[in-house]
Amino acid sequence: MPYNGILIMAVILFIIGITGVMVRRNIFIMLMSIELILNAANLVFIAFARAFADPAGQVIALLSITLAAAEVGVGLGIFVAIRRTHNTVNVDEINLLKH
Amino acid sequence: MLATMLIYIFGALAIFSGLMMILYRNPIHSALWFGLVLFSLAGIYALMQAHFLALIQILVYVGAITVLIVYVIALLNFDQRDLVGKVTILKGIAVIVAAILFIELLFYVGGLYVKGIAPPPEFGKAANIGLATLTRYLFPFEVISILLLVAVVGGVYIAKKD
Amino acid sequence: MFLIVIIKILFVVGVLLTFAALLTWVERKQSAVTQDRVGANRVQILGIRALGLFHIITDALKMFIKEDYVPEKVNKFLHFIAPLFPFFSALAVFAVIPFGSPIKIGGRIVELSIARLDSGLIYLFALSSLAVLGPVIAGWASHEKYALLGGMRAAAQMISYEIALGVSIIGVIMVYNTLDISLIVEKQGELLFGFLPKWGIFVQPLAFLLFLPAIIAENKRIPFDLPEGESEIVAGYFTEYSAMRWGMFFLAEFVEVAVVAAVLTTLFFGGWQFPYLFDDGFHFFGVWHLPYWLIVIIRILTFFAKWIFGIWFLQQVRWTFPRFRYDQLMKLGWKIILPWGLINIALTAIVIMLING
Repeated sequence: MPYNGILIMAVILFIIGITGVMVRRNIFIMLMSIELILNAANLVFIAFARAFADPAGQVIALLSITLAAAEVGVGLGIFVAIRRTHNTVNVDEINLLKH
Repeated sequence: MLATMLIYIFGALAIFSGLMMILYRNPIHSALWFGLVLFSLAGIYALMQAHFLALIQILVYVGAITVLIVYVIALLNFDQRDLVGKVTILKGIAVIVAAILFIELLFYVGGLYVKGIAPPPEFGKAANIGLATLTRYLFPFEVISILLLVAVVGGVYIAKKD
Repeated sequence: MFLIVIIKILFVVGVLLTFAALLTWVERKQSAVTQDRVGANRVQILGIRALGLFHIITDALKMFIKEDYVPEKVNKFLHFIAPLFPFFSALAVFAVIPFGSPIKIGGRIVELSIARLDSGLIYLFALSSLAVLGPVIAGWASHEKYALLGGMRAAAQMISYEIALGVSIIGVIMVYNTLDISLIVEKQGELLFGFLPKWGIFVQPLAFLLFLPAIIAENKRIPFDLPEGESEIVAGYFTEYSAMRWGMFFLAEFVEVAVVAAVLTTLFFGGWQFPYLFDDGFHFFGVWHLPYWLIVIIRILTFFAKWIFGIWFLQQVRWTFPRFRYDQLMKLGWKIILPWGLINIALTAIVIMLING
């Protein structure tokens, strides 16, 4: 198994996620980038679960998928509320506290 | 050997789709690329003896999370002016910071050497994971179930009108 | 080994597409019988009408030669790929469904299902959940309000009923103690109290009652066809589709009917199990020995018989019930099927605990 290759893949995915969160201002793409970061972590967990033949990594990946589902549920609820009150999906325009 | 090749193909697909995801302007395209990232990751999981996790990944991530994101994007139906991104100096700095972090992580990961042992054939099957979840990891499992319940109630409450 | 898999795939896809094509005829003919009409019988070749079976050919011909009209403002790419999601997910789901007991060819045991997965049931739900993407993307890409409404309805309905579906099936998993669909079918061959086949419907009647409406709702057919409710939103998410792209949605729906019937057969009606027929022959007031090849043939025929009965039943449901209102639909999913599904899980757990001591 190419564990080093997988780790590098996970790093690249992680960086893509980080860049997406920092550069894009659309809340949906930011949410998806955060999910990408979580997925990069999951990939590492599963790779090490295979490497050490220990189910712990897979269990934690399972829990983290559940966590992601909960996160998306709440996140999308917030987006609907933001859209209703601010009429935007651009994070830069949600700046009521600035004024 | 075939497995290694497939892992690299899926990995390349995941990275390419990930890039497309953050580069596309329209979030619905991004969401579909996101789905493709998750799908290729599921492929990698299946090749690394995490069959159950691969299916859960498709079921939860692709089948529920991506669909939900696409659904809300279509529901909110925002106008085009939200999609135009501005290029600012801050974004340039963000990209530089990300690049530095990337190089740092690469140095760290490149120095690792993971040999790995071959796990038993039943490793990664549903029964195995279920047993581990409900014995050794029972407490995190219960906590996460409470978290999920709270998230469901909270999501409904936040999204509800007034 | 590779060759066997390819033969199985070709066989399954061929059977499914044949069923889908036949269903376009069955749909009209059965509605005609139900509503006391004559039904589709206009097409004739050399004066032979063959009960209207030629309509299948003319339909296909019509869909291929019609103008494929794409409205100006649609998102071309998404509009193009949307019909593929339900179609391919419906075809892929069938991979884990066993249509006969294992056979031996040249000293090698061949499973009569394309893939025997350890978590086959999860695979089934995972792949079928991809079908939702089709209507949503079609509705969004069409750039039209009725299509969007249809897509929204489809997504809300299918996500809601996926949960109902998942909860109602857990009882079955608990009883058979496995996620492997082939193993579930094998265990359904056992006898309960020595005379009743251990089919899903006998050991989990409540789960069946909850599963049936949920899976019909997943399929978006009457009485749950609100996403395309023609009296309210023209044709729902495929309003802006024509010719073969519309045909893909249409075909996908019929493939889904066939798959739903197969899933019902497999999980609740014993799959390929013929009652009292074991690997060495009939066990019915004594043992009647039969050669194994005959048993395999009987089992495959049994599966097809049950499958066709299931399809007939689903079609009859379609032509019997009126359409739900949207609030009734959501109420049924969230307030009736989900709580009863949870109750079913608790009851099953208690019974299993009592039996196992």
